[in-house]
Amino acid sequence: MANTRAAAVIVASVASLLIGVGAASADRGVALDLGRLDVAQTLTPGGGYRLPPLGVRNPGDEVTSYRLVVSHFEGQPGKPIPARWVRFEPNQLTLKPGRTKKVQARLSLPTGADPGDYAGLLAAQIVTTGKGAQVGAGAAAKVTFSVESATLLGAWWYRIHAYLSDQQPWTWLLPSLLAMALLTRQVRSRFAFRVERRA
Amino acid sequence: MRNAALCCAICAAVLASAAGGTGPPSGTVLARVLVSPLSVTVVVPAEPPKVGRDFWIRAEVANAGSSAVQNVAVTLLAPQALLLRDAATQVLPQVRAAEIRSVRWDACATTTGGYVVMARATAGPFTAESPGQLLQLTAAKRPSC
Repeated sequence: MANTRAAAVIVASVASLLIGVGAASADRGVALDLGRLDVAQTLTPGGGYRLPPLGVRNPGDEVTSYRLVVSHFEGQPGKPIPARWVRFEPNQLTLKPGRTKKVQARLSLPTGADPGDYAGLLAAQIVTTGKGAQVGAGAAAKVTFSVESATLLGAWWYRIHAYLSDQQPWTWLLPSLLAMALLTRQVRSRFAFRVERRA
Repeated sequence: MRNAALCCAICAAVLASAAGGTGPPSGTVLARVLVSPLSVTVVVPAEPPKVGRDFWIRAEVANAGSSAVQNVAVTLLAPQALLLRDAATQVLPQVRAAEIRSVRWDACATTTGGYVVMARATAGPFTAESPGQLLQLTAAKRPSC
């Protein structure tokens, strides 16, 4: 009788252990709302391009942090997109289960960008914490584009143009204020003004 | 002693079934592939638009199938800096077989530069995405929308 009770306890313990393992495992995942992006036109070295937003979604059942990265796959046709060419805003985010957030991506081609076809992956990876080997799952959108050959002067012109457009309205506001200050100074040095009440 | 042996046998059976449940699947996989009859392309103005002025972006949704597709949701995926005057998602009640329908958005932007836009058409299980189209906005005297 005692042996039967012991056997029942062992079986119950093993069963509860197995069931417990299944119940305690949390589901962490990532999904992107964009599959691929092929830019139809040829891009110019030195140019800056705003890409369509990437919707990052947390399909899991726990709060998860994600990091946006640029990667590529082995043996892909075309040159890999250098990571420094792409800027994400934000480049890291934390989402509650079921939530989606848009990430803005911007592609900035350097003036010395090699002409040719480029391919890469804009990926959202799960940020893992803790010690030991960590494997972070990810989802990615494939991006392809072509860069045309351009003269160095033309590339620099595009670079300056992209910088100025990024810094608006300061790029026109500051020179305007400076010009107004200089004009005021010139006028005051040549003419004398006095404001007084009429008698 | 017999009960202890029974206990071990039950444990082994439970563990074996658990291991079998988590092992790699084997056998035949049956799958159904749905080919989307929809395709979508984005059309942007030939002349580069100026910042601070409204311009249009158009998506053309084509149905290459032999039957009509109902309730096609067409979404314009555009950078945040591009201000859309219309809702990003517009619904076409029906796209008949071999028909091409257009959806138009009016937009405006305050900063010059290159914007890559694309469109997505969704109808039930079917989804189609267009290639990205580059929209180059040029400077203007009054850069406000």
